[in-house]
Amino acid sequence: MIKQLNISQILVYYDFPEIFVAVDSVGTNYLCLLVATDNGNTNYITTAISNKRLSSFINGSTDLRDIFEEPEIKQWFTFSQVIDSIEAIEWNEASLPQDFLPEKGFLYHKQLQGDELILNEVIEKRNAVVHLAVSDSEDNYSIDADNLGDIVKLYQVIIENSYKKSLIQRNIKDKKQYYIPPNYKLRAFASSYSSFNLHLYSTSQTDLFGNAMIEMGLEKFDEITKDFDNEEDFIAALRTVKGHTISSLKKLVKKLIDNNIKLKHKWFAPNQDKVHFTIIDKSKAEKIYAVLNLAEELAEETKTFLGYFVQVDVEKGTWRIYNLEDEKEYSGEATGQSLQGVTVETVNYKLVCQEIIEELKVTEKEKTKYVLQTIDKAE
Amino acid sequence: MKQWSEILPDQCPPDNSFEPDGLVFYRLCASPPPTEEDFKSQRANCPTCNFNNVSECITHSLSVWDDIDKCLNLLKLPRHKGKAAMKLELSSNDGLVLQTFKPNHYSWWRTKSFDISLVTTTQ
Repeated sequence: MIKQLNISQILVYYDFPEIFVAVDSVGTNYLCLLVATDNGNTNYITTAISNKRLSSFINGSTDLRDIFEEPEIKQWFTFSQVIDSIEAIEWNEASLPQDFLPEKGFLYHKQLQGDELILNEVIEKRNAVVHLAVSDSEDNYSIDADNLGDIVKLYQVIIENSYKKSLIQRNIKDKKQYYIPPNYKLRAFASSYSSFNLHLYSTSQTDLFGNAMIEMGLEKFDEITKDFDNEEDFIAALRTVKGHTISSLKKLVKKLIDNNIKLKHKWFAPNQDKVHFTIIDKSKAEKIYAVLNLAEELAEETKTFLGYFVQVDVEKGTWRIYNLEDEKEYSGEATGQSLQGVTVETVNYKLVCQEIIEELKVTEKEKTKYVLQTIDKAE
Repeated sequence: MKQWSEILPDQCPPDNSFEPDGLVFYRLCASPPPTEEDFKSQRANCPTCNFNNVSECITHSLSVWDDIDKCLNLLKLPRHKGKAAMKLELSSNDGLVLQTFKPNHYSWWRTKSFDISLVTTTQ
């Protein structure tokens, strides 16, 4: 009997993929284990594994040896080639030889106690999962709908902008392909108790090692909402995302302060070996808010345009420019006499503007406003 | 100019790899004392192996861990039973490293100047 499998996630890598998960044509998981690398060949064994047992292995609760010594279905396969797909051949013996079995005591992780739910969800979604729990002083298990809507929206904006800022700072080739909404947008799929706990999952791009692109945004959120003793270090962390992320963070912590809301942020992704967890209660929110007020310039975002004016109204202080870089038109405002004497259409200018996102309302789209700061003729 | 222990593909090691400069890593060897055989990459061991998502550049690197427990855990796997763990204090001359794939796992592109005789085995 031959089974066609495809690699889904590499769990352990040591010169070669040592342990990985593969799936068959109907979505059944198989745990694959490298048993030898001889004479230029690899030799793997594999056995079917339920989501529950796989979760237990990844959670650090099930020993690797047990999975192969006592499989849920007493059937093993072996294969040597791992190209696009795997052709696994049934092992026609009653048991596996000792050489093929790991020693007792191989646990994938240190046990992640109490986090089985999020771990199972990550396995099911094959991507990052976030639990965003909110509670106010009135009730630990429910939340005002308006507040919930605002908090979720602000959280999503922070993740999006943090992700984009992190991506800029990383040494990654061909970045353009990663600026896509699935890499920063989250989808809600469940809720549970323990405050009002909203479960969100990502459809972010992942590699075979389970690294999900959205993790850059999630890690950054933790970094800018962490406990801190040293204000300077915290401001330095905030500077890495200055602009829209900070203005949204300021709105978020203000919301938590004004409504005495506690926010719990928990996330896990397939490549992680721990569940990340941060709490922002009113006192922490006040501490963050105070720092954000100290460094007002952090919330400012600048945008530079290079192109020619399509329309200028000096009296009203409005302008529209064709930006050569992305071949789009943008309009904005100007104060004073800064537009006096500019030439329309035939001369290229470099405009540095302050970018302002209009006050957020959950049901409305955001509006971006550009206020001209400096203008120079382009060389 | 670094003299690599094997011929590397173009643009390898990646731009974001860095000199280890005194960092300590762990790797397995068949038995003490370690030999050249313990420092062969996937590509050197298996010229035709090809795994999706494992770049050709990575296949020319060696896996090392910055966490001894994660390295020792491997000794329970069939391929590594009976092996020993080595402690590697890598200098800038020993090559370039990059954290890859999983927490605590690094890919190491080794230079010819790395001196195997200085390696200590820990387990």
